[in-house]
Amino acid sequence: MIRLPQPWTKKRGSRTLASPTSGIVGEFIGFATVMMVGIFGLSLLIAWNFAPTQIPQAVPEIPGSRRSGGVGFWVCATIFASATLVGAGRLAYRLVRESASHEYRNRLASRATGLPQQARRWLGPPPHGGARQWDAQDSARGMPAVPGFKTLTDSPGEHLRFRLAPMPTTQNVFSLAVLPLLWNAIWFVLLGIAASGIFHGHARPVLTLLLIPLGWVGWRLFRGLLAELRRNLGVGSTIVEISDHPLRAGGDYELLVIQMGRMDLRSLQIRLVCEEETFFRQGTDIRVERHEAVTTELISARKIQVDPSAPWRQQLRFTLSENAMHSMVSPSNAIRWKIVVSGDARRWPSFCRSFPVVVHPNVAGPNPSPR
Amino acid sequence: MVLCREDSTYIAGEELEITWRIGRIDSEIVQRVELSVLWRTDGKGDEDLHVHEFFARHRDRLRRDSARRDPLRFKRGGGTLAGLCEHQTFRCRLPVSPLSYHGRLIQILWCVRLRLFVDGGKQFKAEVPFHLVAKRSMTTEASSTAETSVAAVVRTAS
Repeated sequence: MIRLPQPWTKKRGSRTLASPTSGIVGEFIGFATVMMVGIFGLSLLIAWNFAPTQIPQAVPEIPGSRRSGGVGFWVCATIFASATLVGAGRLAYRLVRESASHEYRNRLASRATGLPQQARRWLGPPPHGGARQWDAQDSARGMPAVPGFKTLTDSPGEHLRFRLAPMPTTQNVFSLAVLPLLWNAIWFVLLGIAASGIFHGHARPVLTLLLIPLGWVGWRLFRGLLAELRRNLGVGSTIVEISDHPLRAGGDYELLVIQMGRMDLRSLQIRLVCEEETFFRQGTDIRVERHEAVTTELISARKIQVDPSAPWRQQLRFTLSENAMHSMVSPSNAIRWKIVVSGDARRWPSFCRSFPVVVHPNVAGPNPSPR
Repeated sequence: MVLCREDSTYIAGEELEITWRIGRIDSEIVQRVELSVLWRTDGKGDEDLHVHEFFARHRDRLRRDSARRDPLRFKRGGGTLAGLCEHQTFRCRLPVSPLSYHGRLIQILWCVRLRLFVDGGKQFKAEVPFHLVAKRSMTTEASSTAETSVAAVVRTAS
C-alpha cells in the first residue's frame, strides 16, 4: 500500500532509502549540472562583456558607461566561478573516491590526520615543562581508538591521587536561565516604551494591554528558573577521587566519594558502568543507542542524612576484572567506562551524576601525575 | 590466505605473518593487489573501519618484483606476473588496541583483507578474520567480552 507523504511528520524509513549506485549517479549528475551551469554562465558573461561587437561603428560609445566592471558583473562572475569550482571539485573528489578501495581511502585519511602529530614531533617538546603531558598523550595515541585521558587527570585529588570531573549534564543552569532572563529583559524594554509614551502624552493602549499577558509568562518562567536553581543547588556537589588513572584491566583501585549538601537520602548507589554507545543514521535522523554492558554495584546505602557541616563520604576499593574491555572511541561507536553516583532524596528530585574514566588495555605505559 | 597461527588468536603487540597466493585466475590480467590488516565494527551503529597496515602493488611493480626473482624469464619475454601464483609472505606488528570485542550493540572484528583488481574493472575480495586479545585473557578466552566483573570491598563508612 502506497503511503501518502505527510509534510508534518518526519521522514522515516531504512538507513538507506535507495541503492548506493543510484546515490552515486545522482550525486554525479547533480555536481556535473552545477559545474556546467557555472561554465555556461561564465562563458556568457565573458562573451557579453569582452567579446568585440560585430559592427563597432554602429554602436555609439556612451560616455561614462562600460559594459564590464560593474558590481553586477562581479557578483555574477563570483557566483558562476564558485559554481564551477564547487562542481568540478566535488566531481573530482567523487571520481577519486570511486576509483580507490575503501581501505586505500582510509589509509590516505589516516596519513592526513597523522600530519599534525608528525609536525609536533619535528618541532620537539613544548616549553614550560609540558613534555610529560605530551608523552602521556603520545602513549594514548600509541593505542589506536583508545580515548585520551589528559583532561581527566589534570586535577589532583585532596585525599587520593586524582579528582574526577563530572560529565556535563545536558541541561545546565545557564541554558535554563537564558530564556527567562531574555524574556524578562524584553518585557522591561517594552514597559519602558509604554511608560515613556504615557509620560509624554502618547499612550500606547495595545502595547500596555499586551504587557499583562507577557508579564505573566515572564513571571512563570522566572519562577521555574528559581525552582530549578533550588533543585540544582540543594542537591549539593559530588566529589569523586580515585587512586590511579587511567585504569587497567586487572588493576586494584581505591575510590572516594563525597556527597555534599543538606538532604535526607532514601538511597544512594555507586556503580561502575561500561556502556556501549552507537550512532546510526535512520532516514534523515542520526540516532544514538546505549547499552550498559557491565554494571557493577560498588555500594548501595539507605537512609543517609547529609549535612553541610558533615558531608557523606565513602572510601572503597575495587578490582577491575582482567577480562575487562578497554575504553574505545571511533566515529560511530564507543565503549565508555564511568562511575555513576545516583541518589533518591526525600524533598528533592532524584539525581544521577556520571564521572567518566578511561580503561587502557594491558600494556606498559607512563604513570601520569597532575602534580 | 593462511595465518601463521591455527587458532587465529594474536596477543596485542605481537607480529602477524600471513602467507597468500593467487590461484584460479590468470595472473596476467591482475592490475593491482591490495592487502590490508584492519579492524572494523559491526552491530547496530554505522560501520567504522580503520586500516592498520596497508600493502599495495600495481601491475608494473609486480612485474618488476617477479623479474627480480626470475631474471632469466624477464630477459626472454618481458616481466610476467607468474610470481603471484607462488606463495607470498606479509608480516606486520599488531597494535595494542582495539582488542576484539563481542558486545550487544558493538562488535570489533579484526581481519586481513586481500583485494584484487583485474582488467575490465572487476575486483575480488577475500578476508581472513582473527582475534586480537590482551596478554592475560589468552588463558581464559579468545576475545574480550562484556561479561566482566568488579569486586568491590567497602573499607570505611562514616
